[in-house]
Amino acid sequence: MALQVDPQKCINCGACELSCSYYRDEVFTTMSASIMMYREEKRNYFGFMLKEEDGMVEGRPEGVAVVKDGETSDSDAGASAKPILMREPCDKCKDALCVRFCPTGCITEVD
Amino acid sequence: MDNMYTEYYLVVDLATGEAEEIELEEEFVQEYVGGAKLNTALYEEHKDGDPIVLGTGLFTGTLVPGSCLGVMTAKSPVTGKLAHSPITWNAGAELKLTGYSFVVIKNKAAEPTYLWLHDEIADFVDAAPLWGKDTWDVTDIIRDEQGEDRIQLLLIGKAGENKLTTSQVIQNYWGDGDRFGFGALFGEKNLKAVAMRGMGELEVDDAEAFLDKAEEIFKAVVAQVPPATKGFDLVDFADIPADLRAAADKQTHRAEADFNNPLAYKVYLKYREDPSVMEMSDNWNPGVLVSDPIGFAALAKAGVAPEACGEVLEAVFRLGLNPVAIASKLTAKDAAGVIAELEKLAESSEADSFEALFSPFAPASDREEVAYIAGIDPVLMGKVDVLTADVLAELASIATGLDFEADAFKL
Repeated sequence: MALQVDPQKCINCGACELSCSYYRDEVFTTMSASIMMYREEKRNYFGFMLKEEDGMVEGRPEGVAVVKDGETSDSDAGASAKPILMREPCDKCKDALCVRFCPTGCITEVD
Repeated sequence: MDNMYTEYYLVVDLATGEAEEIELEEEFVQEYVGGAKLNTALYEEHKDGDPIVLGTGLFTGTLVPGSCLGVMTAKSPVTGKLAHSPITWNAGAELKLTGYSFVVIKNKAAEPTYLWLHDEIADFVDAAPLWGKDTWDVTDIIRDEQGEDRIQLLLIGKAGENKLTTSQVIQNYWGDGDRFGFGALFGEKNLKAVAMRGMGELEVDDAEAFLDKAEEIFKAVVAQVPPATKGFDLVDFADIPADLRAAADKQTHRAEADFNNPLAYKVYLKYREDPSVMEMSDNWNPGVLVSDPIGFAALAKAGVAPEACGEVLEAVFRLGLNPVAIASKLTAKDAAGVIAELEKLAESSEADSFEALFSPFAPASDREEVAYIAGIDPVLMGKVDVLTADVLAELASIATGLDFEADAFKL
């Protein structure tokens, strides 16, 4: 199982971040998720970063970028999501809450 | 506490510079639930200090759809009575996560101050260097000063500093639902801003049962609201004139949602660059978020040229004015002319009085008070029929281990 993301469907509601934290700790917080929202608020540039075992998936407004460990992102997107580097990676849980609570189909599960 | 609230609420005395943590007792939650109802109880308790009460609903910051709502309660300089204004976007949830589900702000600071709430700490910060600056500059400065882009702010511009009934409390860069002139109360108290950031955790009594019920509600809500990511199709409640809609469609970039709100009705307009560009802009101020669709429509109805309404709305937000209150005072049509008028209105203008307990920011709904007590976006509440007092009472009982009936969600 893996997550597939379509960042142009993202509305930046943060349900994925909230539900992933709930999956991990059964509390509502935004601090323990493997996925983290970011927003350049005045410029309406927003998306999310998903931490995986071997790198980062950047859901940018212009598309998806995968940055493997050791590589450098070619974008300064997600500067406010830097704490994601300290988080646990996505464990590819089945029937993931981030998918179940995404209202737009931005995040889906694929085999 | 395992009832989705924090352990404490906060009472801030701006006159003495002291903040007192008080335990949020279970009996208090059982009696007043939260949001507008609990805010009212706190207001009455601290009435002598002419308080502004910032509060959250029972479900604010949780997985219940539309759980963005915080509530600002105070005596309105416009209506002369107690009133409740919505805090949408992200500040409601952020307030709870600071460690304080409710904050009572009473009395008046001797000098301009901003309140910085973070991780169960309340700091009083000198705001003299910020006094006179517009809301966009102040948001940038405070986020930079405190080193966090995700800080959420409630703040005033020039209109609030001048204690005008036409002012409003702005959230970060955008107007929210303050039709009650609460910006004037901030100004009266020498309070430039409340800044919030928190790493709190909200505990639930029966986590598994709560998740099941919340997901059932989520599915029912999403079945009733289309998952739009662009455009004004969801903004039918604002009665946007056809010529404004046509002009705004040409400037539309993307739509955005409040915290955990499936209804993405806040549309961003770009009028300083090509709105079809999705890449990060080099322009730091490419446009405005139409966070207040009814206020946006009011500008066009007052005669502002449709293609200028976005830029005018930006100026309204920067000055901390209420667009509905000042629309009828405008005579110019073009952006430059209207903005010059706004500068004068932010020095001196008066709002027409009206009767309301809840802000007319959202369309009227028979479940408005349910929304304001539960902590659910009132716009979403008006769009779906599944978020009833009965359903929320059942969920509240699961979440808290207390016993709630539907009547709990009445003032």
